[in-house]
Amino acid sequence: MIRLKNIEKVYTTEEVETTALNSINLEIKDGEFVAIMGPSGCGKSTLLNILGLLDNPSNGEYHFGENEVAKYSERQRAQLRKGSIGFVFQSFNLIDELTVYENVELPLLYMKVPSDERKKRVEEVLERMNIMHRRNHFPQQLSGGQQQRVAISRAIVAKPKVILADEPTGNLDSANGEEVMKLLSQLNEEGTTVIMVTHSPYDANYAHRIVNLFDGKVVTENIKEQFHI
Amino acid sequence: MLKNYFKVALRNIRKQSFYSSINIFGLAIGVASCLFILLYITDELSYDRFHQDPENIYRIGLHGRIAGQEINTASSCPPLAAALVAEIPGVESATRLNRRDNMVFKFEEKAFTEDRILFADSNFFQFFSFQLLEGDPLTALKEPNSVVLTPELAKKYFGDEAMGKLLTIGNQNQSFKVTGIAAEPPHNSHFTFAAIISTSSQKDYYNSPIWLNNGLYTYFRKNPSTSLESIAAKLTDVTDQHIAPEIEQFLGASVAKFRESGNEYGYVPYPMLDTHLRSGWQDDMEPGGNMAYVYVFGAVGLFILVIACINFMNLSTARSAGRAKEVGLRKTLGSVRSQMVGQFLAESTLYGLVAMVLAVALTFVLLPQFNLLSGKELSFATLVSPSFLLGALGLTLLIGLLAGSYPAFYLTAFNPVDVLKGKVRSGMKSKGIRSGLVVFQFALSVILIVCTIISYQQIQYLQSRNIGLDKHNVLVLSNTGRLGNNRKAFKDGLLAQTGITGVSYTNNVFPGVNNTTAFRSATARRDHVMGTYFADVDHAEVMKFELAQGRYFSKEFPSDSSAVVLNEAAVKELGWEKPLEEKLIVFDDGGNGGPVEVPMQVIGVVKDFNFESFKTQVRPMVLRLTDTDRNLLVRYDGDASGAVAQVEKLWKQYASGDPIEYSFLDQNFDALFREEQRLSRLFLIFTGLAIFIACLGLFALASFTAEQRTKEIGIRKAMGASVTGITGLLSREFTVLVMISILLAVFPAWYLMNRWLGQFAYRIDINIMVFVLSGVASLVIAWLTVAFQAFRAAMAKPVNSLRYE
Repeated sequence: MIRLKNIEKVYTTEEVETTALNSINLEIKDGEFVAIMGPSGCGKSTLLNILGLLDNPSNGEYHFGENEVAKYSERQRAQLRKGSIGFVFQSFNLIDELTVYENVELPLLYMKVPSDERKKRVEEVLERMNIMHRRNHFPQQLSGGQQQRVAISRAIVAKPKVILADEPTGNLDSANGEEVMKLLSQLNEEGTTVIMVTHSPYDANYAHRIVNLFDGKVVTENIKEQFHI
Repeated sequence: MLKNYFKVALRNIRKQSFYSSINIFGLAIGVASCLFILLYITDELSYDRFHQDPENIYRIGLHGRIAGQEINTASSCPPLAAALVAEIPGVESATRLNRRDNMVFKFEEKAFTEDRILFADSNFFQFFSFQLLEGDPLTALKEPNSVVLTPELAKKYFGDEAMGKLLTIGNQNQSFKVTGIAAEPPHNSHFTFAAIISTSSQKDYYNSPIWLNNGLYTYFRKNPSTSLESIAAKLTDVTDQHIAPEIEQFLGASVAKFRESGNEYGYVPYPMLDTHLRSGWQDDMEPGGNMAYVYVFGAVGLFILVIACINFMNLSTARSAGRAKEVGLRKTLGSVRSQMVGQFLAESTLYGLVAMVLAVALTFVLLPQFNLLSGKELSFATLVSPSFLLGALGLTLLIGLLAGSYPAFYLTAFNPVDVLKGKVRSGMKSKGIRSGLVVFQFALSVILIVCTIISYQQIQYLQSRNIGLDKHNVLVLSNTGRLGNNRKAFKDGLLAQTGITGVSYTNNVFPGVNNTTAFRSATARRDHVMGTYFADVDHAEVMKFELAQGRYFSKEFPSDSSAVVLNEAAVKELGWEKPLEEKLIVFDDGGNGGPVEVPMQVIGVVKDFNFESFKTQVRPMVLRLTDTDRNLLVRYDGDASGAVAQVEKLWKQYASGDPIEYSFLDQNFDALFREEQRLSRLFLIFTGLAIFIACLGLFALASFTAEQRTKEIGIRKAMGASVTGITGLLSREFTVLVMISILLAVFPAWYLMNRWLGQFAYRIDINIMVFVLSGVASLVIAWLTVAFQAFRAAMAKPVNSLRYE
């Protein structure tokens, strides 16, 4: 599904060169649930941005499915992004001016899905996430857990192959966090690949595999037996 | 602390040098435009104020209605001035002026044609405040054949010493003694001069006792304690008393009967200070200005300043949005709100000051160009007067307060914790106001675009309209009296040249007719006032006007010397069904003072052609036959310079050293709307500036909005939105605003231009396409402006906006 080979990311300012990622080699199979861990500033978010096609690596190869995408242009990346990848952010990143329904509808609009179909799919996913009753509310009117459920709805409404989650429980209390993790596991069991960045070892336990990053390098990869607490 | 503020202000300017320079530059352009308009208006309002007690100087106009024709002329008659002083209490003094152009001045070998020659009474230099550099103001214009020159003219003919020398002036080669040197008159005088000749040099006219003979300009000084009404009332009595016997003699009817049949005749005093801008009188010495245009320019100037200030405010706000954090931090560290307010206000005032200095510099540099465009002689000196500088300082403070008020009071009001957490998104609350301002700015711009296009179209139309005669390829030679007895031979000589297709003598040069007088219908015995001029048998062929009935004068008919040709308007005025069977009575000078009735056969009717201003319909006109006369019209083929060379060469052979003087007929016609042309050019420039400044504002707002919506853009891009999609999203809002302003602008623009066009007898209809075009143009301009910002925002990597959320 995803194969990174010698991926590097270097940020250059006038005087300083900062290496955020240093020869990362990583392979993620279809249907896997991978957690990426590491201390602050180790390059987790940079890696996630590259995996999510929000950014290009400075060097190396990135195979997404059949395609080598490392040198893709902004337009090509946007094209591939929509429909293939769903995003879940720590701070939810909902658009304040749009309602719950409109936020979830957004990816389908960009995929030019016809309106009947859009309505069906949005309602389906809101129903499933149990926030149908909040469909006409604005994000500020919701609790953190509800907002994150909206964000997950938005991530899965286009039925993407991969979900990228950046600290999805970071802004939530433990009960809401647990709920979000269960949702992600459930989606994974239904066949979606999930890649999650987290600080929480507890959350990481939901994953099949944990990738530890330190100073822009993969230090350990432990494949776990699948078990539930 | 002040040092810290200053440091932060400077670093802000440097950090956002792009915005800062746009900000300052935009304001400087706005203020500079305003300064130009201010200079223009100040100059227009300053006319004739350099005289001593200008409020007490009055002029006399003639208002009358004879045979249904309105007369409103600035001229009056020779005996009026003396009668004013002698018979009307409260009139302290009076003086008379007249102006001539095209007079030949000769001294030894030098001979030139001079314009702006005044004839003035001997009290000229006491009455007005023109400066006499050499000579005695009391006596310089006393003696017959005295002339006062400007230094330029004195130098041209005599070099260093002109006083007492003899100058030959006019076609009769009279000698005039130079009795004074007068300083060049200020440009803001309603009349100017190059030379002044004493009225005693032309006793025949200036000492004439006839009242019904209006051909000069009368001025009087009023005692400050006497009311104008009492003088006006007395003037009516005095006039009636003097004109009664003349009306009876010339028209054969008593004044009472003259009035009964709807006629009017009387002199009206009006302030000299109204002459330049508010004069409704015709036939003045020089064309005046127009108060309406002063208002229009004042409004445009104010609008530009308002647009510029709004922009400055919007731009400052946009830039300060990023400074909420600084405010929060300063507050956390112990700054009080009032200190922060002071900081922001001082900063914006600093901007305002820089812009003001730049604006004054711009004005200084561009003043010569502006003078060229506006036809003015404005001087920078007006700008450095203390009152003006004080005003500029006040304006700077006002702009600083206005522009700084939003960030100063709004940003500093927040709770520092909220600001630091990024919970406050500055500027969202005032969105409605800002949108309103954008609509206002663009509505104004659209109005200006529409006005510019329509005035341009109207002028094009006036220039290219078929006026009923062919004004192109005609050379007009004036003062052919200089040819003496060679006029006939000169004409024949010209006709023999190749490229010269027609030659015609006339006593009149278009545009205009130099004589408007009474005619009588032989059958109806009724009087009609109509324009009239003389021309020879070749006139119709040279002017190429068409005949509606009958024929034009011809050599084959010797009886044509007692025939007339009318225009269609004259036939209508006379109410004739079959004009060719009618006779028209003209009043010719019988030689013994009284007029003699001469019946003339009507032999033809020409189709109406425009011989006057385009602001009036074609007047009734009577054409009479002459053999040779003052002016010669020469129609040529092909190149104008070739024709001029041919004519000049022949002139030299026949005119024995007198200078030739010519103009082109089409240029003379175009001169009729020179003022409109000039205004339309100025309009174009100020419109361009207004749009430019409005666009700067839009540009700032677009960047502000893009900044506000960074997060949203990031999310949308993560969801797969394309660059085009985002650009469209950001542009859409402004597109809607501009569309609203177009709709708002349509009616005022239509109303304004319809009123402006109303003053022309020949005008275009306002085409709906003008509005469409203006709307599309402003949309495209606005869209280009916004699209740049929107595109920049859309191109940014979503990573950057989502990263630290």
